[in-house]
Amino acid sequence: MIESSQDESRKKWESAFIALFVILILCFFLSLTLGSVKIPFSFVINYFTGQGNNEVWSIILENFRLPKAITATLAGSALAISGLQMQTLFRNPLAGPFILGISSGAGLGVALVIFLGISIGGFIELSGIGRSWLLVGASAVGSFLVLSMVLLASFRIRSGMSLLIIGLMFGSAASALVSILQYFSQAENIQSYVIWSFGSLGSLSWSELSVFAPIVFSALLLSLLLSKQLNTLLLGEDYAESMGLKLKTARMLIIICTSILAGTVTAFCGPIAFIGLAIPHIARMLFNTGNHLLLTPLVILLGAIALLAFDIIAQLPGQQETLPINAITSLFGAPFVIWLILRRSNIKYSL
Amino acid sequence: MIKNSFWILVCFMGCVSASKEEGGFEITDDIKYATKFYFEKGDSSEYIVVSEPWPGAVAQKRYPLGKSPLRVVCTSTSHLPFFELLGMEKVVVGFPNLNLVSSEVFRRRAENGYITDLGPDGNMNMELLLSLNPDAVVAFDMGGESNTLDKIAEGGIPVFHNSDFLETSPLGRAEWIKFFGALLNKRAEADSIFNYIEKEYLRLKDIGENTTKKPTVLSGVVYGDTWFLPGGQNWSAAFFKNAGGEYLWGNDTTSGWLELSFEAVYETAYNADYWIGTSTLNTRNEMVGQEGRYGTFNSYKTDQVFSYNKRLGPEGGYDFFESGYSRPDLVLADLIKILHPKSLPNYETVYFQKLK
Amino acid sequence: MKGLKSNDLAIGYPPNKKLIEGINLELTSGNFVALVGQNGVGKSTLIRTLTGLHPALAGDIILDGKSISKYSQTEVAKKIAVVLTGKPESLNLSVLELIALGRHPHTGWLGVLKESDKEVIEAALSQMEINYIATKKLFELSDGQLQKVMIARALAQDTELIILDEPTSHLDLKNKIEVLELLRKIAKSGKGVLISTHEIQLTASACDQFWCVDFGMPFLTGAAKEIIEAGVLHEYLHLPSSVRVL
Repeated sequence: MIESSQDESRKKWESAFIALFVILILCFFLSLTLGSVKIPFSFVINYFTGQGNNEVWSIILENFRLPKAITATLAGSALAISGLQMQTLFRNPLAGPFILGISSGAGLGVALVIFLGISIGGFIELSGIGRSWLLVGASAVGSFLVLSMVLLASFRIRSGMSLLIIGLMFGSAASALVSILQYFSQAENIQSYVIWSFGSLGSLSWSELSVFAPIVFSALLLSLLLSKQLNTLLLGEDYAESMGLKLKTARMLIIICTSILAGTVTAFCGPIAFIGLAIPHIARMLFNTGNHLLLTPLVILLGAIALLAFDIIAQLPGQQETLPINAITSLFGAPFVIWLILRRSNIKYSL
Repeated sequence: MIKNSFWILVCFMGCVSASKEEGGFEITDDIKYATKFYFEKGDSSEYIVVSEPWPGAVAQKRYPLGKSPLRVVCTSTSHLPFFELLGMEKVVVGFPNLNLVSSEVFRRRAENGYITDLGPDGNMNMELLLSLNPDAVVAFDMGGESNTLDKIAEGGIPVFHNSDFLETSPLGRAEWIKFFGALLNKRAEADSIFNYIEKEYLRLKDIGENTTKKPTVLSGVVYGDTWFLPGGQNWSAAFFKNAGGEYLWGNDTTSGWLELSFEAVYETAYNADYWIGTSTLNTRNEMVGQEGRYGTFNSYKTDQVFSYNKRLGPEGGYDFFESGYSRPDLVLADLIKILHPKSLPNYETVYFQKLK
Repeated sequence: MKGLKSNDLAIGYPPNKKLIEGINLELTSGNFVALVGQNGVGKSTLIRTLTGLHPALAGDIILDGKSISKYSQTEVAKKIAVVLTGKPESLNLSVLELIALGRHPHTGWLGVLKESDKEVIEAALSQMEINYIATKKLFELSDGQLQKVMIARALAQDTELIILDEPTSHLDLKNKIEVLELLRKIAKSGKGVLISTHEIQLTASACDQFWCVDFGMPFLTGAAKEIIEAGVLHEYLHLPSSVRVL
């Protein structure tokens, strides 16, 4: 009896995944085609088959649109998965990738470079490290410091709720320090920081991408392996332990995986909101499942599709102006989530 | 050479004015270029009228001209050069964020304790300010809801709104020296100085505009995904045009700043002859360290990137953003030297230099 | 010796808040044991201590002849399954998915189910008589159905012992009786079943042994019939003498 129902649902799931994959490819190519500069779709195809003959367009595709599309794909998946992990680990639908203070730590690192930058300007020149790498490094170090403190706390605390509150407190403290730095700084530096906080998918060079992509990719693979642990955690910490799950080890692995995903994206792209919080809910609602063996690949695909789509909108295709990505994610995403919830108002929703 | 003759003129004026303090000057009423202030003669006295005291202000501000204040607090580094030009730097007693100031004269006065640092300019230390007992505050206001300025006015101290930053023409901005001249009772000096600057500017503009080939110009830098650059009617854009260059966004109609996508700027300007104005990036390495794709611009490849970082204050402040507004003649000369070096063979730039 | 045994166990909250001490008990396969006592006396704490969720204050817990601390967590999970009070935190799983979670200690890295796993799950469904709701979501079930599903999950874990904390207190009478009957059958099929409860009326006829706890009284174990006849239950549960336990 299980067999027959499983065969039916296996067919349904296979078609769902194929459909999502096709939509992802489509969004990827749309993102390559649409932008401020009008490049026809036929040229995009020609470019990939080696027949592109317009040099400016080729440069734009290769230096601007391709890195951006790859970044959006990976960042969308990464943020969505880390949101899923946080929601399950804490059994809290309001959790997102930054709930343990990762983006606040990243912001603090970046703020120190931007606001105190003049003092270490000489050092930057001597070391030969480009400023963009410096910001990436500072952001990563900031996230890592907050993460370490949270992990230390997680070994001493059993309750998930307490850990969550500790994470929030670390995040708060980091944000407060950033505010102080901002208060005493000049206008250009403040503007620089504020623009960082808008998020930016297009600022990765190919050399940065060569670091970003492997890290995110490996962490995404790790997240697939953590699906079983996450499923077991759905029943709560007591049940999970009684079934043989080493709670502290599992928690540590999940937190590390989330931090690598969310921390890396924040280091290279700034803090990008909404995706981590909303995509897991959208996946659960659209596909009616709480099983992480299915949710993980679903969320990876949906996260990538969503961020690619939002980026296309943020580019304001055809216009010379653009909008920051953070403005678009929540602006378009929130009404969609609300619509989904209202549509299912007669069905009890849960994690 | 231009600079030297100018300073001789200023000294001369200083000597002259010391002997003639009250009355008998030739006062110029017509403001030729500035659009945000003018003079009005009432029955008993004259007024400065600031027509747009802050961006989008509905009402004007009228200030009666009277005795010159002896103790002034000003709030923008761009005000200081006007005091210095008029020889009135001694009246400045307070200023926010002193470490940003480039002018040597003012830095020395600050070090010797004649000027008090009032803290971050969004939230100046009111107690310190009041304890200085100023009889005027010259303020720039961005939005008309400044609590700080209200409190100062409540304290009985006259506040003079200065909206020179809203001017879009180079000469219009420099003409605000007449505002300070009127305030400080140095109108003849102010007129004289401005006439000189205007004459120089127009002479140089002639040189610039009479060139046959107009090299194309790119400006600005990218922050995140967005490129910030001056609009077509912006103060900077006017300079490019007057210097005999073709600013690639010269046909744009905004007077503020444009925020465009990187790829749009690339498409328009990858082939620009010159790149002038790179914000806080001071060297070629810094540029590509911040954003590798800058290296794909032609102007970068042919080493034709220039910026306003030749004169830096001890803490990295750009003198261009301090005294540049008051000396459009020097700025224009600099730009002509860059775009058409043969037109000014003996001139050495003041604010701009090629990025190393 | 197979089964769970304790020697002079003391439970409570470290460092020295003792709830019950001198606990000597034995839970072996085929037996259905009811742990009874008033609210607050420490039944839940004892259950959590026996299953390793809570540290013991003193004494030993022996599982299959070896001290429980010498087993790995997974090994213990293959020998003891629990059913706790309250609903599971996440209700978005289907019945099948939840029961499949019980295979956690037996499956590999990704938790993929082999044929043998699926057979165990099928058997659990049948044993709890819930085949008809196999594809439903947990939030669609009634309290009674949900409890049966949680027990089925414990069955799927395929252990020799199942320990349940107040499995019937939130159910209506009909469901209480059904669940207790199913548990009795599970014990008869060869597992050791321990429940904590204060519903002695219904359990008295179903279980083989009673373990009795009360404040300041010694921990008492004995065959159900003997305990009832000796009137021990009235004493430990402070029942008025008019109440008859059958």
